[in-house]
Amino acid sequence: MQMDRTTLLATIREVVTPYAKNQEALQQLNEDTDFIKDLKINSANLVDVILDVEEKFNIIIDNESMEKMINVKAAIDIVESKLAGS
Amino acid sequence: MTGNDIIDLQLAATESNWRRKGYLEKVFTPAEQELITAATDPDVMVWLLWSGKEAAYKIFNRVSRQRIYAPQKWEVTPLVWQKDQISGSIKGAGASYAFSSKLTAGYIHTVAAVSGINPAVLPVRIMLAAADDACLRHTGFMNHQESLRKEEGLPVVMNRAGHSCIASISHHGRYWSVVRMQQHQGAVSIKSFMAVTSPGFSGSAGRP
Repeated sequence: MQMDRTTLLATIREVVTPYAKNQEALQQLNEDTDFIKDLKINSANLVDVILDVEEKFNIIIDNESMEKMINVKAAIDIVESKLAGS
Repeated sequence: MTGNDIIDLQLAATESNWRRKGYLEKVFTPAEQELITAATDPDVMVWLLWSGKEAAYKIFNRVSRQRIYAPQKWEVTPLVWQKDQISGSIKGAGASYAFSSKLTAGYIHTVAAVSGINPAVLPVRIMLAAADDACLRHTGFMNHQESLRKEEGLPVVMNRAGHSCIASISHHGRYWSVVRMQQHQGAVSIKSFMAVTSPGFSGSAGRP
């Protein structure tokens, strides 16, 4: 499955929308957006974001990758590398 | 060094569905999952363990200045459970901490501390508050003789002599919590202390 970063960003936006508490940051979502500091996602809901990303892309995010999942850029990088099969 | 975490149990019940497939495996170690399965009140166990992980992470983050999302890295082990007070240990990322938790109908609050410090004796304030910074400037420690501020983005509590000590803040739902180390250290200018205790920050509820 081949997807460009714009498509991935749109999917990430869809995934985080129910958990984001800062609507303004959600409107301006970009690769630099931080899940906790900017979107104010509760840390216990970040697990839901990760599980939703796994389901959306049919991938498994291991603990090592999960450690880095604190912003949109890291999430896109991880999804890209998993889709590429690494 | 200390870290703390408060969980509004009412909000947690609606905000998070930890029973969702795959959730527990992502967050908890096998030993912790067993504790949850065996618990008479699994919700309380989930949030107790979670608050321990968060409190430990705050210590890790402050010491290492690293941000990671790795709840499995810290394993929380409750050892003594007396009514609404729980104590135990947290191990992870090469460190071991002691923790002390308080459970009420409304919240779970956990304080973790590095070895040599008893987390149960550190000064704690729990506030039911509107979520804004101004209400936090007065933490109410020591008969309102101290205030909260940030140094390099991290919280400290400062007394009137301008001495500050490391503090940890947590906010969830209806609650704010602050814990601080016992000893003040390092003089900070009295001017910066006064700046945060000016009348605008006197913090009486209901004032515009």
